[in-house]
Amino acid sequence: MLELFAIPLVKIVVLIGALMTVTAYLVLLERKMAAWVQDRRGPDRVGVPLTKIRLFGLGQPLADGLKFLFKEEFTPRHVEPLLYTLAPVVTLASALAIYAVIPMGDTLPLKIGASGANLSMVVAPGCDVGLLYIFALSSIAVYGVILGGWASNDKYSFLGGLRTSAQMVAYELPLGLGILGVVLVSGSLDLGKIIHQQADSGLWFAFTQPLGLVVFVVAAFAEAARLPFDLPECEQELVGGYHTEYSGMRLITFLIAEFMHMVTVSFLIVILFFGGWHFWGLTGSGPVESWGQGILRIGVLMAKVFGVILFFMMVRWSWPRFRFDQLMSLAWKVMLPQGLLNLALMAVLCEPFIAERIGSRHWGVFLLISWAVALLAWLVTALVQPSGPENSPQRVEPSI
Amino acid sequence: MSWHALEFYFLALMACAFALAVVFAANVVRMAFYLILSLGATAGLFFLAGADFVGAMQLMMYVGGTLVLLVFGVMLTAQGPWVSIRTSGGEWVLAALVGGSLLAVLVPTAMRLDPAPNHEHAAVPGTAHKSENKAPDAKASTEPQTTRPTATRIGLGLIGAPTSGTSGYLLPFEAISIHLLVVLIGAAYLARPKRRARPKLVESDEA
Amino acid sequence: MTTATSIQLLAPQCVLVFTAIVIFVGGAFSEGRGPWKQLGIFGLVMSGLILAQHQRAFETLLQHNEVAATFGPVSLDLLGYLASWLALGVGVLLVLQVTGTDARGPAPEVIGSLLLLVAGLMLAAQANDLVLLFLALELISIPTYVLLALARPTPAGREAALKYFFLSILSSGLTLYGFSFLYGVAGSTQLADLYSVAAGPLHAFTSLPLLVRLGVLLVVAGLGMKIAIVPLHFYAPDVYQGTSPAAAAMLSAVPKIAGVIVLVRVAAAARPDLGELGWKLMLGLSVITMTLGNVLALWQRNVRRLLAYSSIAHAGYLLIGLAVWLAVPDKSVAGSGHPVTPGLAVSGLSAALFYLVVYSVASLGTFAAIGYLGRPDRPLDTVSELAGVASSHPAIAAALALFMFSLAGLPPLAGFWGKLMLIIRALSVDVGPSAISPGVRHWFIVVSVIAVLNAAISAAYYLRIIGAMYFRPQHGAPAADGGLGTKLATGLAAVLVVGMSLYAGPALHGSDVAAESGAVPLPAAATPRARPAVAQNGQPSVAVPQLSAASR
Repeated sequence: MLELFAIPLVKIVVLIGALMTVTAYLVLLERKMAAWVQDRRGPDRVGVPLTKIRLFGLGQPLADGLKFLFKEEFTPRHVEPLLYTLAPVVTLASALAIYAVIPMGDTLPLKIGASGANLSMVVAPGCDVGLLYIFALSSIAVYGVILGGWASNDKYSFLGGLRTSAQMVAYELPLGLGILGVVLVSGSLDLGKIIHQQADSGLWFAFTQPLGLVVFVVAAFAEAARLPFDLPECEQELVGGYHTEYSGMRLITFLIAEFMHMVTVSFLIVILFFGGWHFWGLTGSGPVESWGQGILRIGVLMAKVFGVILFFMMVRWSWPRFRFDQLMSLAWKVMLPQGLLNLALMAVLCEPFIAERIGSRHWGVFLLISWAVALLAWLVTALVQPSGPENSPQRVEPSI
Repeated sequence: MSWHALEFYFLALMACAFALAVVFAANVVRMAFYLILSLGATAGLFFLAGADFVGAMQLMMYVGGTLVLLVFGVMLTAQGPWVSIRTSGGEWVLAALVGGSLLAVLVPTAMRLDPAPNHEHAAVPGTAHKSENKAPDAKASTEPQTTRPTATRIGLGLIGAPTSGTSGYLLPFEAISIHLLVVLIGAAYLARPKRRARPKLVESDEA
Repeated sequence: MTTATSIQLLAPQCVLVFTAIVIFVGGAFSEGRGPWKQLGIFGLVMSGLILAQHQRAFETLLQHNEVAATFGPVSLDLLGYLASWLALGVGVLLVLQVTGTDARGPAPEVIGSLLLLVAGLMLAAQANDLVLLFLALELISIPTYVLLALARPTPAGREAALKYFFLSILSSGLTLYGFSFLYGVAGSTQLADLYSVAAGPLHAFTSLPLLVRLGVLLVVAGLGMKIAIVPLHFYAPDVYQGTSPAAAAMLSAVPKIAGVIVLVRVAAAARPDLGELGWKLMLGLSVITMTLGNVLALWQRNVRRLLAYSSIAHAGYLLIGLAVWLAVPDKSVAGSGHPVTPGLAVSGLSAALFYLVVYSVASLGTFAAIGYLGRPDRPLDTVSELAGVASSHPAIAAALALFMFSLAGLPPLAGFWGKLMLIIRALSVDVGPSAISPGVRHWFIVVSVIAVLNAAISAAYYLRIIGAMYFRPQHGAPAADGGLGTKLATGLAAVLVVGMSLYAGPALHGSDVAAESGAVPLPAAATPRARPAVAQNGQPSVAVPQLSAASR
């Protein structure tokens, strides 16, 4: 009973609490970074409540949360009440449920229950189809946005919903293709096993599959609707996109879920392509033996994820937004062929290099081939430029 | 009643209730939403039965794929803000006939299943009902929850493991790939805006 | 079955699919017209050469008392084998006569789709598994949508494509629903398992025959749309009229052949549970279909619309044969105590298959001639446009007249033999065991009379076309710009019709052996078992030596 209910329950409570807190402070970080990039100060006034201590603005998330909490739950009269209420819940629930299979580390040598196994850092350990589960849930997350946009009965929300569904449907393909190469090489859909595979060989999939990495990261940006792919809610065009008509707690539910998507894909990028908790000469690759090792692995994983999140935030302030047709042609004409190429390449290379476990000196050949193909693919893409019509400013001949 | 049975009844009830809600709802998008919930509960039943691959696939294909397109299509084609559909009497009779006949197949099929021999698991009372939802996976439903890799078994069943003596579905699988090829070509041909003979022309004379 | 054998078994389809992919890929990267038509013919011929290799494998297999070469969901028995030859022949006629919408000739996608369609037809003829049966049917339907969509870029053409698309989806759904019932009853997708369940005792399962009948009813409803049986025929006139002659030719032949073969396969497996429903359903549908088709054809002015109704009527004739087959007790059904004369039990099926071949060739030839007389961008529309063709294009007019006479069933043409066989076998229903109730015989006599009356009605509109060609003065000669391919197809079809008229023996024999093998379900893959007929009678059921004569 303890193993069946208590441990997962504790895990879930710890995980959700940590996630919510971390998300709040990541928002603060994002604002700080925005300020840094734009050469201003950012939020730095709110500190400890009821005192004058500023503490670099660390109280800001708390204040934001309270503000949303005490705002009026306003429901416009023209909405579809049931779906309007449910949409944020669907979004947040699916965003949180994904963490059931995402490992937060390897294991800790804490023996609980009769099995005597180490405490796994996954809520649902040993899920054989972990990646499929993540895909399934991320496709459900689309519903929150679509239904919210539709139920708001407002043209901006509606357009935001339409754009989201088109974007998600288009980018799920490259996302899957990027992952398939990893699945093919590692031979498992279980995230924990994929990490162990990389730790054992010492070669992260980012090095062996550069093409897949780029495809996956670009698709991940689009799936998380982060700039430069934030068309579902681009403020200049759609006011607030699908959550234009939302306020108070419902709005923040949407915002948290959206932010959490970014954290999720950061975890995925690290786990699938950057070795998860593995770092050469630091964490070892076998099963966890001591507390120090277990905690170190957690720390390494978190540090990597933090790095990827910083990358996401930097990109936000570095790139302009894509136009919608460019977004689509990027998905179908660049990412899809590259993803297919990566998959085919891995299928071909798997046969001699992975299946028979040839010694490490042949890994050089593997790396050479995959990088050569990747560079070639990028070169061809750059030369062909299939991403949409020319949109640079053109001279218009005055008509007489 | 064990937890397993309780969860089963909860999910089964949810699937059935929302399926009925789909039938009785008048608004297209609400129907789609209820369908999502019903199919999601069915996926939960699969997970409960230990068929996690099928469950994840159910979520991905139906909930994440087909229904997104359905909602997308409804949103694109909706005439007014709240489209509502009324079912006429004749349609009720016809639907009851069609649905009832399927039930007539599924119930005896489910009854015919022998419970697995070493199967003191609490799922036994629910087994028959469970196979009502998905007859093709009746065998999978009778399996108790295990941690054995289901994806591997499904893969071997699909390509036909040489040891198992079954023929597998490799040929239908290949046939489907040919279908998809034709569908893609047809779709690309239909969606292509311009004639191939004059790729350089301006779009003004096309319309 | 070794892997090598199984690959060899599927090699003809593989060649077709491979050729189609080459054409698709090549077409995507080439501008202007390429040698796609020639490549298509080449693929079909190669496929035929490989199929001819099966001949020897067949003879050895049959001598070893195994029914057919089996691999997984595919079995190759004589029905499948001969139907594959029919499919290839139809494919050649279709690829020859297909034209583009302008002078650039057919798009490569059209040729590729045609090849895939032929591959699907061959697969449908050889499938012994419900899953593959359905997929093969879809492999025929999906390229059909593409073909119809590409056939004519006019509003009428698009309407035709859409109409066919939606109704075909509905029919696929019905078929699949019926298949799921059969699967539910059998507990397996193999047709052989369905047969053994249906023929076995009813163990605690009282509603079983009812469910099988329901499933078969749904399958008939689904396939009825493809065969164009009357309650489901209504799409045909509009679609034939809206689309190009070549696409109409394809619609008039390929879905019908596939539908009839799949129907035979399913009916053969489900037969022990069908009871009287089978032949009653077929007979009823047959009467409505042929009468309605013929009567409505009388009023048509548009050639393709007229031929659409004619194809509906011919579907009606076909069903008589199936009804006869289902009415005469199968010899493998024990309990009647009356031995059935070998051959009689499947004589109806044999007549239906023969009629199917004769009709397909004549219909393909007709559309090829019509296609030749029109222009690629504006096909020949009304019957009056045929006025005076006899003087301007005597050869084509003669071929068209030949097809019309054959379709009308005038002696001594192939169509006459086909109708004659159907009616003789309908009248000979009671020659068999006395297990058949006397009422059955009266039904078949009535239907025979109706069929003869229908043939008389149909002669009116077929003769109208001939009259327009030969006895009406020419005004504004038809464009006759269909190209060499349509001309070749017309000639080939004419030669085939004449051949089958004067020398019907091989075709008749071929349909006999095909019916013999199609009347029992294909064996399951894992256990190749002896044909029941062989086991019971102790005599070889299929005449192996004549096979070579029949198929060539």
